[in-house]
Amino acid sequence: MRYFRLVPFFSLFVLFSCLDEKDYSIDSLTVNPSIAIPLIHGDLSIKDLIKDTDSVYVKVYPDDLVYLAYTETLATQDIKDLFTIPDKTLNQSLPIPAGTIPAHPKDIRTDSLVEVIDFNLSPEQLSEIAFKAGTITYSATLLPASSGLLFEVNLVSTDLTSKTTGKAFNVTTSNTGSVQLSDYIVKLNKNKFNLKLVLVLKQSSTSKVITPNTSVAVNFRMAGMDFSYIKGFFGDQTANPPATTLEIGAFGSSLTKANLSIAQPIVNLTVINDYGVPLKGTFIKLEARKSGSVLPFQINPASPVTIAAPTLLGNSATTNVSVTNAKDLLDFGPTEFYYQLSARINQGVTSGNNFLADTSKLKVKLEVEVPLYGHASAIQLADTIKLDVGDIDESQIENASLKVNVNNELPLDAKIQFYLTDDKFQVIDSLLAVSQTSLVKGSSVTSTGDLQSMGIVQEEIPLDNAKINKLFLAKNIIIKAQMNTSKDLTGQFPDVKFKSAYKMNVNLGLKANLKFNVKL
Amino acid sequence: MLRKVATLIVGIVLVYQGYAQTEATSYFMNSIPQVAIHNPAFVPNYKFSIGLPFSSMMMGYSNNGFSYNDLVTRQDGNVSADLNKLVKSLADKNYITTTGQMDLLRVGFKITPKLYMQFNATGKMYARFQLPKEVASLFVEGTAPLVGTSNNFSPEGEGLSYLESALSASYQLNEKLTIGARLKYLKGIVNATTDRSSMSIAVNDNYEITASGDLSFKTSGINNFGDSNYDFGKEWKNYSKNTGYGIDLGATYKLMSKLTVAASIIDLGKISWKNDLYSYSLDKATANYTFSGVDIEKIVNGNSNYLDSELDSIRSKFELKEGVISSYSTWLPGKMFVSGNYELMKNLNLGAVLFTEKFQGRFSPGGSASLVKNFGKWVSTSVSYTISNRSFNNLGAGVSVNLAPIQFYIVGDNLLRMPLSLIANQNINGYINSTQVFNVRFGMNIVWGRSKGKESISVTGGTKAPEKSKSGSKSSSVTGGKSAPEKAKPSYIRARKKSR
Repeated sequence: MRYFRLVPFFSLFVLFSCLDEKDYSIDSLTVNPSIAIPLIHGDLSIKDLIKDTDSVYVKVYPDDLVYLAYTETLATQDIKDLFTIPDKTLNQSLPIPAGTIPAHPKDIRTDSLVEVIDFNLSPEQLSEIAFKAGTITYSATLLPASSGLLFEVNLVSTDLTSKTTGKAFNVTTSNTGSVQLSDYIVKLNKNKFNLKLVLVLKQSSTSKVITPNTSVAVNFRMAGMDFSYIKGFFGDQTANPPATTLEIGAFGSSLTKANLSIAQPIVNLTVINDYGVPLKGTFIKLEARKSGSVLPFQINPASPVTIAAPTLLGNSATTNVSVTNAKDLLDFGPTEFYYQLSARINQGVTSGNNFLADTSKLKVKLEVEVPLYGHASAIQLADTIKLDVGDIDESQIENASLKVNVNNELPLDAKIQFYLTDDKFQVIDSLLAVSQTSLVKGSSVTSTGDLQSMGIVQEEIPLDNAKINKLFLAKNIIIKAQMNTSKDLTGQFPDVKFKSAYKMNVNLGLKANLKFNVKL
Repeated sequence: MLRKVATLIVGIVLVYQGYAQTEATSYFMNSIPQVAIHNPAFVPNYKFSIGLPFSSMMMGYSNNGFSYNDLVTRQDGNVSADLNKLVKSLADKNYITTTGQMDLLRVGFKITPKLYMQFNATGKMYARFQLPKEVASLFVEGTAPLVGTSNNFSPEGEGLSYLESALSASYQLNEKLTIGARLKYLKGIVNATTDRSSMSIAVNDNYEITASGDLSFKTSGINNFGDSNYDFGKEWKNYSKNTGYGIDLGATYKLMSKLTVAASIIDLGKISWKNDLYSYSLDKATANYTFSGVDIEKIVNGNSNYLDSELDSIRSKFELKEGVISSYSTWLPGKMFVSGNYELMKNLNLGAVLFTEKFQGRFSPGGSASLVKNFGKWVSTSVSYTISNRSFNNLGAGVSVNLAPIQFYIVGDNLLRMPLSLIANQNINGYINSTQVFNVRFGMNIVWGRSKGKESISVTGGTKAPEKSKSGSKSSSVTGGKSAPEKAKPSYIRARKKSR
């Protein structure tokens, strides 16, 4: 019975011995699929065509028109930096006549001595300084020290008052001391204020003999001073802030060779002045620049511009300078605006009540609004993609075609070509015939530049086999798009609007008949 | 009458193109006890038979889609696999089925002249995978043919194995009618069944490809084997939890003296699966994705992680969700036979059977015609022609060598072409390469008490007059055919007398 169980195995052995194995040794595998695959899809708006780094400048007007808003502000404190408060030291000796001072139950105050502290500033003549930093140090020393006289020195200035208490500066010392100036305001008379010194002999129950040449040496020093504001007459001075650049880079170099016309550009130049001083600004440089060429601004009023000043400390005054050639500047297709300002105060003036704070600035703000409303041609975009299809045998593609379905609300035509290059970026061939490159058709617009009807391209573009084969030799593929805004029926370029709601719906597919014959 | 029956059979088979995976040639081999598998009313030629463990086996393969010849092309001595050629030959739904049976024990005995009983314990295996043509087309012919259309397909897989313990009885009600029934107690071993399956691929005019899926299949006794810590030696008893019951019903009726018809329903029953139950499913609410190409907006805006996140999303959407489920039941692959047998002449019968299998919603009919010839009591043979699974080249054969008490047999629906191919080509490649249907049943039985008198095909039922046995006792047979008078003794009896 157990031998019977071997029957299946014996049968299989016999079976396989009757087989010609060659019939089952498969030499190759043949399969000819015909694939249709989507390559690209999605909606593009005008925002997507603007460089990523500049997308923050993209804004939308209430009517949905897209515009680019650039702002650059030159904020300078060069005028404030014209003013510094120098350190000031006063050394004064208070002599005590020789003789015997009888016992006295009360203090004896000697006659006061008034000293003038002069900051010696020029050309400014300050009338008030509010300190935010600085220190007064003082000392009183009896000479010779062995006399044993009990004394005090009283230092008083009614010009120097506390911001918090309103009380005058008043200190008494027989040794040393210091006071922080950050709490004080000093009233000046053309940079000067008074300090009164009083020697006080302390009560004594015994008489004291004063030897000749006895005195009290007083030292008073103001150092490290900085102000939160100053007032007075600042003199005729000039500040020269550094130059500033406003980059206009939204379209990169794509507009370099473009013919561009922006319908309603806006360029604003505004000077905001915190300084309470007559001020004239001279634009040393104010120009639009692009590679190799420059276009100056034309402004009204012309440079030098009288800049308004605030009447109260802490306020600002604004001066608007209109740019009269804004359209020319934008149509110029600049990559940057460049400007430099020189500021002169109190020109030809010998007196006045000027003021400034430590936070005061002179700001020159340049605002540019570029509404995407106008027309353009010869706009070029390009990108390079590395290509490596070396693993695929070109003979495996029998034929191929591109399915293009673009529904375009943007008033923008595009001719797109795919250039195949070698590893040194030398062009081998282009993928499309010239007649096949019109892949994007711009929308048509109304007389006001608004969308009238979509531009539609629905085509199946057969790819030339010779060109496909070059695809397998290429190492890079350069995608170049030459664009222009939509044309009207007469072939002219009307002004068109790019609104944020306008989309370009792109569907790109590939159909290919493949033939694989794989050796096994 | 015969012409009408033949026309009906051929007509039905052609309409349904023959999808069945059912044994046909063995249907008329009443010389072996296993003939009762097809109809419990059938009575084998032996009064007593025993099939010992592993002494009888059946293996079957069917593929209604393709043969090896449909895959390859030969040119200048080179063999090339041509997938496009393969796809062209596929049916809309390609069922690849494998079956197996092994008798652990089979005992048959005639209780009375009218009552025959048989007990069997048999291990059975059935596995079927359905590959829609659309799936193969998609991978071989690509997506271009689908532009503007969609493909909906439902791949399915079924598999079950179980142990059947059955007791059958065949009873002769009258001279013309014999009825039979078999009751089965089933123990399921493993099961995998497709609960629902609906997949779709659509390609629109922009070549966007949309895939969606709704799929669920259940398993019992399979998940354990993915667990590296699973110890079958300790857990095997769990496999006895899956119980089921089944019944076979059959009858034969003698229409005319030489014509007998029969009908049966086999494997009407189900198994309740309770061990190691898991489901794997795709949720149609999430399992859908449209590939529209690279999203230009995301690329333009420098979203470099976009493609990776898309791939993660696809993986997540089409990941099979595994979950524990409660018990479930599956039907057995049920079969139905309708047959007719005509005695052309003594010991030569012509039979035709129309059969069908019904399993998991698939109704798969087929048909076969057989010529059965008994050469004395020693050898019984059968040749057949079967249409099954879109396959029309199935020449079957069967032979049993009856060296009582030992009997050897082999029978199959597509066996005959094998030796024919060998003779014609000195190899069997032609046979293997064109085979879509193959089944073979072979084994050994211990048999006693061959019905004597008329040595005719007995599966055709009916009644024949009791006749004297050699020992003088009366014997009866439910075999069809004309009753033979005592004087018409078979040749082997005459030969034995001669030898004395």
